[in-house]
Amino acid sequence: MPYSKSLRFTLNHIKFLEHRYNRLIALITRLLLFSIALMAATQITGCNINIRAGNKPNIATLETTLKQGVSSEQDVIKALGSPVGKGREMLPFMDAPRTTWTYYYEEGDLNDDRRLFLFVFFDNQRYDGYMWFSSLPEQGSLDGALRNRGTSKP
Amino acid sequence: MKCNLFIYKIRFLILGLLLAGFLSACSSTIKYGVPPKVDLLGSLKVGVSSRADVLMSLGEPRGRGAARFSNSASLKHGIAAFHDLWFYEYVETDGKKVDLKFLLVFMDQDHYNGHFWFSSSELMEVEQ
Repeated sequence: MPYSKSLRFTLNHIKFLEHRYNRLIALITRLLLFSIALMAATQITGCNINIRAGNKPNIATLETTLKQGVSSEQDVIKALGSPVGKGREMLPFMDAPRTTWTYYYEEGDLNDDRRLFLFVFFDNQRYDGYMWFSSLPEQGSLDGALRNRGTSKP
Repeated sequence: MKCNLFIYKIRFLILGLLLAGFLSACSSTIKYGVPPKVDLLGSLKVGVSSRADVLMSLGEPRGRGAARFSNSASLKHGIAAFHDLWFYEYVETDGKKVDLKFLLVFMDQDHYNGHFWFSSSELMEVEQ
């Protein structure tokens, strides 16, 4: 009898292990299917990694809100936000160095990535001009608006 | 049991191969834009070449921009205070390093008025 009881215990133990093993296999199968689905989704969306850096300044305010020789640094911060960097410039046609504030914004994914650079110039802490260029698609209409406003020659 | 173990190993192998394929797909070279044709800038003449000439030489820009320089400086040197900018950019990365080439073309109304390009790599063969 003790032998039979021991054998029954062993058989039950084996059945229990087999059950656990089958559950493990089922879990791995589900994980595999999930991985395949995930891979298919990521392949379709090009890995789906989104890139975003900085804050996009409202470049329309460069001509509409800010006034050359009048607007202060605070006015510029109010219109465009805080810059990501500051520097100095002395371009060949300038009579004196000027302070430059730098703005940068970038967005995209692994299929396409686009950016905007903006440099704002100050002369004696007064807004004195700008230079921006962008490959962001929505800047096209703003570019047209600014072009219509600012084609003045000296 | 041996059969189950074999199936288990096969599944694990497939999973590994799929993950390897996925990772290699993510780490391939990525390119944004088209390399600017800086070797053709020499054919453009300041104040003479038109927008069409620039388009013909350099192709369609990837972006636009604008610049307004100091009135006093532009008056003194006789340059336009306001410029349209055409922005050409090319970025290439393999996940470890990034190479970039940017070209800005200054337009004074409808004419080419100068350019400025810079690059982080030595892929540009002809310099202007």
